Amino acid sequence: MNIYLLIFFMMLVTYIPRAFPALQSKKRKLSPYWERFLSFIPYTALAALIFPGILGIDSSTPIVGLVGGIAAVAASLFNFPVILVVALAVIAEMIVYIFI
Amino acid sequence: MRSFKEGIKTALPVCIGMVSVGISFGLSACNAGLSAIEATLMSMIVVAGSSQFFAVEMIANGVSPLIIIVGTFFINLRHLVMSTYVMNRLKDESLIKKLILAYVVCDESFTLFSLSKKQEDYASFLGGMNLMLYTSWCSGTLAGALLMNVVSPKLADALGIAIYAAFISMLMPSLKASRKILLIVIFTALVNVFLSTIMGNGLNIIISMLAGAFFATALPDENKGVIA
Repeated sequence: MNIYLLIFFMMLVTYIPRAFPALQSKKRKLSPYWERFLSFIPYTALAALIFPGILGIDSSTPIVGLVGGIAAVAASLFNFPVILVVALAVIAEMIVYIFI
Repeated sequence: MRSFKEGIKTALPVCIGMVSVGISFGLSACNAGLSAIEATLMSMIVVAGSSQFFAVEMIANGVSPLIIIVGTFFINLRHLVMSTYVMNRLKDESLIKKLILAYVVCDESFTLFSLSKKQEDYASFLGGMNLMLYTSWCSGTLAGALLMNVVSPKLADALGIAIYAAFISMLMPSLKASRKILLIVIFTALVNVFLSTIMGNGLNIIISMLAGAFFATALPDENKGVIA
């Protein structure tokens, strides 16, 4: 298949779930249960996206992701801004790569 | 206009993460044999990082396009839940506005949006945020694709941590403030560790995040306010 056709179909199957809720009737009100359920999704989504994916950033050496993750957690504990947390994690990764 | 600027400001710290991951994606895509134009177009049109990484890896392995499309659907199905949440806040906006804003519903925009404080104009706020995230993602991809031959592979690898560092930094304040959130996060991570051994490519992420949210909803509320 042509790469542009593939990109188009990837967009289509990605956009449909994104757009579907926009097409729902305007007065749609979720029950308190589902409101509560959805309020937890940001935390569980982040948790699922971080772990174990972080261990796979270098598929042959999980320690690489682990060290970067620990650096990011440590930096976050000091309430550093996101930019600094990211920079420190990348620096930690580069140090790891010097040693392995 | 104030909300639009507020959206830009809110997205700014995450943009460096998006650019970094965009660069990694550009590099991976070109490694898989895509041209710089094809890689950048994929970012501009699909706008869904993890499925794009999945796609270029499959392309490199010669997997059938049908599998790539089905996999992409499952990886990005979580946007349905995210978009429901986002659209709930945009109830009174016009359909065309909602359909445009829906185009860039992604993990980053959703998380920033759902954790943000109350805005006077949610649509403009999200618009400003999405504009920044979209531009970062696409320009990062182009930069990565063009830098392919310049950046040492080691530095490109090190940049892979950027998005995770951004995610961690977004999660930590809530983890410090709430034992319940900490418990939910550990539960979800463990479920995902288990599920990722029997399924993969995004499906495990969808099921884990839903399982974690069901678990959280079943737990009693803390007396101290939960950040939500």
